[in-house]
Amino acid sequence: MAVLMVVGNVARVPSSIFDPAYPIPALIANNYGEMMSIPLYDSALMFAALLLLVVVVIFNILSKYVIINLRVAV
Amino acid sequence: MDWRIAEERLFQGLMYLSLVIVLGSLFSVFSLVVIKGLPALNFTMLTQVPEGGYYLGGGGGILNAIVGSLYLAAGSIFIATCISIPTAWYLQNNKEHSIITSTIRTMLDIASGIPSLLYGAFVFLIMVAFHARASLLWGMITVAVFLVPLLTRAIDEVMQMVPQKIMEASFSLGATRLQSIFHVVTKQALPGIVTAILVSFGRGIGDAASVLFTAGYSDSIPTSLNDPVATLPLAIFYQLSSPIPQVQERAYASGIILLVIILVVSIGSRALSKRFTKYCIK
Repeated sequence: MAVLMVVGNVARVPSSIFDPAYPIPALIANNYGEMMSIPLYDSALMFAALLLLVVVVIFNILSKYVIINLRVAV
Repeated sequence: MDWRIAEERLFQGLMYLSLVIVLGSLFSVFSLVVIKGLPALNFTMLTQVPEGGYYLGGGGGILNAIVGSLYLAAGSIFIATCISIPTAWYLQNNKEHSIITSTIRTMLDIASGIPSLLYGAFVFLIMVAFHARASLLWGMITVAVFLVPLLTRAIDEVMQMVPQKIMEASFSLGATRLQSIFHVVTKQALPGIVTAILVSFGRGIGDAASVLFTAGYSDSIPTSLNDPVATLPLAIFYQLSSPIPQVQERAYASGIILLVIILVVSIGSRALSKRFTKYCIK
């Protein structure tokens, strides 16, 4: 929500750090109004959410792995 | 100069630099909001609902958003507490390193890492299935769903901090595991639990993304659970999107109100937890 206001929201892959970008939560927030009116649109948005969820899960499992390994080392 | 002293100096300098960055960003946010918002802040903003054309520079205030935010946060924190504390009890009641407990903890960690917007989208899909309209009740449910993992993990951590010896003392008096968790560990962890609840209250009141879909927006104060409700962060968002500078100034004034509420809650939580610490075994 905070990022949505400053990031630019342009649907294109940014080529430099100064280009506008489009994070997944901003995508969902900007398109929820039409979510139910176009067929399969809600599924597409939920797929974007799924990708986000997968990233979160991967990072959590990685962090768990790091914690377990460190505990063995100590 | 010795290279070890130089290294020490360098890292001390880096530490001070990061401290300055953290405190400086906090202070600059505060001062920017106060400087830009103070001219627009007045008593009518706090005591009146928006009149016609408020978002085009008309008269009125944002009482609807203040009251709505407080209702929403209070209701959702009530639901979240009712779910979180028994869950934390369950996690404590299981053995220390059982697979079920560690799996649940991992899942709660994952759930607290998901952006709150996704909870909003999720509850919105459920609302569509129920043919429900955006209302205070669904807003409360959304914020509660998003607070439960955070609150459960916080309460769980606080309960784990209670020394094992206190549990053992309770066992030696003949209490069962459940009895010692209910009566001894919970009482001992009470300051931490109160702090966790109030910190989550702050999270709930300041979160705009999760209620964007589910709570709706209205210019009047909700009278029942089925009314749509305005929240302060969304009010700030809508006012800031306006092209009229006068309305943008009001957005910063609403920001001051939100900051004051969060400040009061966090200072209050400090005071309360200090008060409850009196009744703990040290």
